[in-house]
Amino acid sequence: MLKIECPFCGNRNETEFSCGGEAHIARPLAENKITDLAFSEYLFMRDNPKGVFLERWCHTSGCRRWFNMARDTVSHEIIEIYAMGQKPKTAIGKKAFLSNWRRKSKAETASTPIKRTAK
Amino acid sequence: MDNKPLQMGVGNSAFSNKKLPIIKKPQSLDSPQITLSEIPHLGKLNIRCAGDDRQQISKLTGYNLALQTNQLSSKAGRHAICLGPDEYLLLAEQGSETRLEKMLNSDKIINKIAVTNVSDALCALSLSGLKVRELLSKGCAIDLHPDSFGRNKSVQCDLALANVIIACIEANETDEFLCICRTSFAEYVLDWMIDAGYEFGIIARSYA
Ligand SMILES: [Zn+2]
Repeated sequence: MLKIECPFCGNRNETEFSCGGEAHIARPLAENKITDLAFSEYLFMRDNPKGVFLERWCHTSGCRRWFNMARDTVSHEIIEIYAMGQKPKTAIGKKAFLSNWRRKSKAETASTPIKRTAK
Repeated sequence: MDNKPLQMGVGNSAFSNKKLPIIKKPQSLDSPQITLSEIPHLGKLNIRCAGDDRQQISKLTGYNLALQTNQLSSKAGRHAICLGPDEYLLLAEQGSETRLEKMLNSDKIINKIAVTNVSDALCALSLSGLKVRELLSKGCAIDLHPDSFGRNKSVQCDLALANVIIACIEANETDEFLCICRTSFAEYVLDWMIDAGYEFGIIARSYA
């Protein structure tokens, strides 16, 4: 059994948690017009790496809070656990974040407001 | 089982289908070492609030909310349990929870917090006796040793697969624990406790 360190409850059995899938998927803003193909990458495409994966987890049977986790899908090693809305802090976690194809996707680029140039 | 309609606000007992007291023990034991009872119609309020609003709620209700997650505070027979960084469960004697609810609802703080009466959604069981920790540890993977689970400690976990809140009210020779579960799971939890408590001797009786 995997032991997961909940940021609020401490070390608990994996059975108390549920995995919410890939983390850091930003929704494109409505003001940024993108193609259906680009939107479908946001909506349907999920990463399934062999190695370090950044996931969202919820302590379902405990405090019911969400958090992020960097986990190795081969060894099941938990590299780091960090709060919702944060980015990974360890070198391995950072690398996994930056090397993800999503960082260069049109959908993610469209998730931040357009820079308006002065008229 | 009869089909009595459920009445809201009155509270339904998890014991309603049971004839009390129930005593289960091996013949070798003189008396049961665990006492189990339901605290009937205990008032329960769920509060969602930010850290800054805790003080104001404490001032209004008299509960001490300066707690960490999975901690309990007791004051004049009332308990507050911290369920998460912004979530609390207030326990109050039967009927008084509606007064507390009204009090919070009529204060301007209600614009920043959420108060939900969960009295009927949850069922509170009281466990006391020498072997309570051993009984509970049969159903969950929490370290219940007095050194790590002392007075005013609480935990949310699965007990025999049913989601519960376990709180230690008193840690001494005759430990007193509170086990709060979903009302719909209460009968199952009771049956499980009576079954699991057999070896220690267990008596389920009405709350005194
Ligand atoms: Zn937790």
